[in-house]
Amino acid sequence: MKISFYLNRDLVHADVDPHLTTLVYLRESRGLTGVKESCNEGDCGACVIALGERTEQGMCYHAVNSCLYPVVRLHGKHVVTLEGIHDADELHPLQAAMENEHGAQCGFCTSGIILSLFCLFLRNATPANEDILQALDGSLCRCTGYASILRAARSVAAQVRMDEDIENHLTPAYFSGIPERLDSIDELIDENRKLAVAARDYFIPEDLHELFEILENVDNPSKLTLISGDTDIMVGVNLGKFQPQKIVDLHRIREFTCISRDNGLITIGARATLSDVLDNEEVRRSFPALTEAVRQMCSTPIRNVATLVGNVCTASPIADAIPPLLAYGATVVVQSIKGTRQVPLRDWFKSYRKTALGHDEVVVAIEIPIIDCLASFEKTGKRKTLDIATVNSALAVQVMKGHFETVRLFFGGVAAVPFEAEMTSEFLTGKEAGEAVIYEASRIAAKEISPLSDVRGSLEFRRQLAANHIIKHFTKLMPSLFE
Amino acid sequence: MAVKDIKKLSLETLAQEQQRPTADEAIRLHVKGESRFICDEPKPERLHYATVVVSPYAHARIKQIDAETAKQIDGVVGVFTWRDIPGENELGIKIKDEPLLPENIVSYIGQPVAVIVAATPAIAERACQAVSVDYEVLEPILTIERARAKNSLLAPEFGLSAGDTEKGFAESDYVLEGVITSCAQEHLYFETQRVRAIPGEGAEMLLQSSTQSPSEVQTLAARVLGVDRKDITVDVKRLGGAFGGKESAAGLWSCLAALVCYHLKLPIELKLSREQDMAWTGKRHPFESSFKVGFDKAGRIHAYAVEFDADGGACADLTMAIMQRAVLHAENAYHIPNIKVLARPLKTNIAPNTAFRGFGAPQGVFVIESVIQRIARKLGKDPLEIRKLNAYQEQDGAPYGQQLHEANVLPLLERLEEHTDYQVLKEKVREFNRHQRFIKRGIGIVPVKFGISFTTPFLNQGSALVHLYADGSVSVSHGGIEMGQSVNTKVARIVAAEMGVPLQRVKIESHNTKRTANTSPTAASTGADINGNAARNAAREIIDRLRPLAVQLLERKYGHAAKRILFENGYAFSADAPQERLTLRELAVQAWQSRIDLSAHGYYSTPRLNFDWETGRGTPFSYYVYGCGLVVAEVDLLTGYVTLKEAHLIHETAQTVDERVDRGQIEGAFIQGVGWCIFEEVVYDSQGKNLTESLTTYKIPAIGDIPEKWSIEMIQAEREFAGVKGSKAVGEPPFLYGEAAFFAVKDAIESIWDYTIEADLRMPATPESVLRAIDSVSNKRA
Repeated sequence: MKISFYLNRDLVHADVDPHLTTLVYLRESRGLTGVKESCNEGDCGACVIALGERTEQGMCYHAVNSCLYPVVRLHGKHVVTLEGIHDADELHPLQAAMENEHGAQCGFCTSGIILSLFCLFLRNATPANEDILQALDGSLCRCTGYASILRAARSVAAQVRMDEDIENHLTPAYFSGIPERLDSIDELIDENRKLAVAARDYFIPEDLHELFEILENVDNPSKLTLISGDTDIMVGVNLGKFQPQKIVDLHRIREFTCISRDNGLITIGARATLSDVLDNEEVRRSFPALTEAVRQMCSTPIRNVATLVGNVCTASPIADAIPPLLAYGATVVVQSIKGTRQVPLRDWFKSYRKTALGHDEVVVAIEIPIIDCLASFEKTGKRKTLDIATVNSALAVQVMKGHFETVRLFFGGVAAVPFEAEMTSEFLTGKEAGEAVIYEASRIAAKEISPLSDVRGSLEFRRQLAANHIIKHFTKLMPSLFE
Repeated sequence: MAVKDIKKLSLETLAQEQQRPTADEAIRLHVKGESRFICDEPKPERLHYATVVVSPYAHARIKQIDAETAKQIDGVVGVFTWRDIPGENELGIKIKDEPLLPENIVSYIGQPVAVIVAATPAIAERACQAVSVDYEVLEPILTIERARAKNSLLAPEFGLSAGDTEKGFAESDYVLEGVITSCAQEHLYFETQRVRAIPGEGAEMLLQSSTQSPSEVQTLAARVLGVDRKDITVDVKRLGGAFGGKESAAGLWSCLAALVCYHLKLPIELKLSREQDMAWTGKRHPFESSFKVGFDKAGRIHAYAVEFDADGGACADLTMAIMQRAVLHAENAYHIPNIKVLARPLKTNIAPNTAFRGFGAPQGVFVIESVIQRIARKLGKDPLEIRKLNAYQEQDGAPYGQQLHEANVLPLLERLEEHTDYQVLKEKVREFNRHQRFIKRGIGIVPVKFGISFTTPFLNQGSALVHLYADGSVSVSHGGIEMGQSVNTKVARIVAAEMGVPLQRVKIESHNTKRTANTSPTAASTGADINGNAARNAAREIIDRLRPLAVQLLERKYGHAAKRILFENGYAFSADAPQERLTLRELAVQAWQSRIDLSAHGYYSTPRLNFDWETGRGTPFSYYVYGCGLVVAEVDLLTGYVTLKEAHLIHETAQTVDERVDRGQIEGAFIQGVGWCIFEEVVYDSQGKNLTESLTTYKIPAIGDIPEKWSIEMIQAEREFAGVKGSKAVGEPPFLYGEAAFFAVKDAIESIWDYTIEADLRMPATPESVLRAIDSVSNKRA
């Protein structure tokens, strides 16, 4: 496919294999070896690049794992590597600070770290410590112990606070011309579009109409893999564990929306990335447990690409966003050529990673009703960031006159599909809120589940976590019960 | 200007030098994305890719290897097995138990049995799947317990002793016994194992290898190919991390690439993917140690007997040397009059465990530190009190007879106590615990005494080759390997200071076996000491050759006698007339035209070392590094999550060559130690397969896991016993402070029962381990 994009200062026209990752393309075809491959599955951050897109608010730069980013998606965007963050021979303030603080030792993670920080500083030139930690939650370093990297980032923020003029140096001068130049880029040229559906193996439909046509005309729909953020599928591809036969890349579908609110509902469209969800004030206000789950999901560079709808479609039994969505009573909005249907999320999961989605359908949104309840999310893994949970859970409960009403409790990591703890919920419903009742509920929860032992934890550990999560939820929601 | 003023002047220039933003060439390249690692170099013409077929069984007999289908695949240029090895099929250095490619028996999952070369990595990978190997599966030994029961040893057990432990136990008020385990650890260098082999004319071959031991790679490649070392050149510019994992372990991959390059006469790249690297390569040795300790009512240790059982994996590799260091650090920072240490190097069917920062010392120290905690609990005393009571004093000798000069364990502990306001801190933690039901805090302290030198005495030698070019710039080749620890920066600073040239004019070259030969691995924290001293000797030799010429030229230029010649800031001048000077450039040109040799080879061997394992007596170490660390950890009793609230490290660097480099080493090593103790769990299944073979399942500390409050004090005192230019080695010792985090977690858990019961907390203190420990205490109470 023929794509055009800006690579640092230069316009690039390239004819690319759509199956290629941006990482391989940048290293092998462009010779940009500063971008490093280390884990090839989005778990280390060595390959992070800054990716600029035109939005209504102007140019927006996000850190992205280039190892999980299909090269065709670069079309119309601005790719920034270490070569593109400074003017002439000057170092960017972040590069200078990293050098001065010895934020690089072996140097293998350095490019990803600087580019992650670069995106942070473009958005917020005086980030607080937590902002820095969050921006680097997808970047591991095995040498420095992170202290020098933190010092470097803090020192740039401090410099900006002292002298606002420095803020101008955070954005290279040539960036100002980029939006206009991106506008002059023509549409993506997929010459294969002329070919019959059967003869193609990579589709980038522009709208739902085109998508449904593909879904209808493909000879064997089970051979199609629909990709949204592609941060899950691509891991399997990179590791040689999954070879999709035909890919339908949904990232350009015109009708896909982001996040909206009306009629007591919040609709999270298929376009909404996890970062969109995390940053959304409405979501945070109405569904704090969902915001908390998304905050603890994967990492900044993955959240910048992965979508919430994708998480629901991947249907992993340990997906972090699922338990809170279930607890809030979310509905999946599915569309096909025949029209739209709504599937309650609790009816969505059929078996391990299998959903109620038909071969001719696509998920266009998740709807969540705004209800008045207390809700909490808990996740326990081996590490607090960038980890897959051993057990996660969400609880939504209404408390009336000191009694628990409508209790909804869901666990991940304890069964082949997200698990509704019906016995525990039923036990709690109508009970007077109190410590003894909560402890009894935690014992019921541990018995109610039948988890497996695996590399993330033993069966016994999972049972104990399930029990402890119940207590943890209530210590957060109703701390006075434990005094 | 008086001599006094000159001294002042040079101090000022030195101060300026230190203030100036870093002149570290490598870091500048890293932050610009311009530094090159092996696979970043432009590809040679016709580069082909090698990949390996590995054993899926921990223990099996190879009945047949059928590669015919693989050979037919378009793009495959060759499949090679042990039959194709022209020389000796052996990688073992001291103990010859490691074939390059096994003939009969495979002894761990991930052991290469055949090498495939193809035009692209994808074809090579596909061809791998097409090779069919017929195995007869044999029973594997997968645990320390099983290996011990079967007496499966890599080498005979050994040890050392001092005093009379039986008498010591008899004289003790209390005797405790127990078993302490420490876990494996994946190196997780960011750059995986890789090599490029490039054929030259005739028998020549260049190996660009990601190795800490170029001379060993050269030796092994020559051995398996049956050629001379002169035919093999190993060149190493830098490594993307190593931490011991590329000391001996890089040899296998380099030799496989060399083998296929030898046959095909094609440039070959062999690079492991992250999963392959994690699944196939050895880790830090897990230890299972049984101890017996006798002590009096005050807590003074009278006798300590310990047996270390290490899981060495399938081949001896460096296991013996690693256990030697564990034995030599068994008593850590404590004077124990009667001691008996035994080491049992066990052979199992997992990938050969290998060097990892600390090299056995962390494992040995972890046992005695755990023992100290138990003594304290038994006596109802503060563990710090027991540590101070038993701390080495200035006049003490180590169990193996080496005199501990400048031993300042106690002063450092007292300084830590004062710095952290320990008694107040402790009370605050207890107060916090009294008011918190689901969160508890604890304090852990670990002092460190770490011996510097390879415990294999002959390895303590360094070499360098220095050229002064006629333009006054300097090229330095030395025996060290740059892997992020900035040995190049240190050597450059040392040479720049010695020759009086600005740092920017000194270039550190790649390590190349043609420029420095018979080098030791860059390991044991000795890189800067031995190679920095060698480079310094070479630099000094060149400067000494220039001195007479400088006298002549200065006299000719300024018309009066020049006396003591100094070299500073790119100038040569007489000590009594610093304004009348020559540039080094003028001097170098003149020297060249006067036919004075401007190149020198430098050599250094560490003095005073001798050690005899037969008697268990001698001087294995050139000097010791001392320090101590305190960690405050918070434990969530419901999830088992650990948060490091505070860490305070006091570390003796002596007269550091580069303060920022040393600070970076202390910080990085500490967090790596925390990773070992708290986060990182290597899990094998019942067949010996590593289940934690990716970053998805193996978790190293992330940026959010570092201490919320973190202080480091570097003690830069002048020491008689130290390394290059009065500095002390810094690579490994701070790793051990990570153990303080483990003891802090344990302390937090034990607070639940008011410190009356010992929690059975197992390393690593993951949420699962923490919850299990809490549970075990609850059960004991019930």
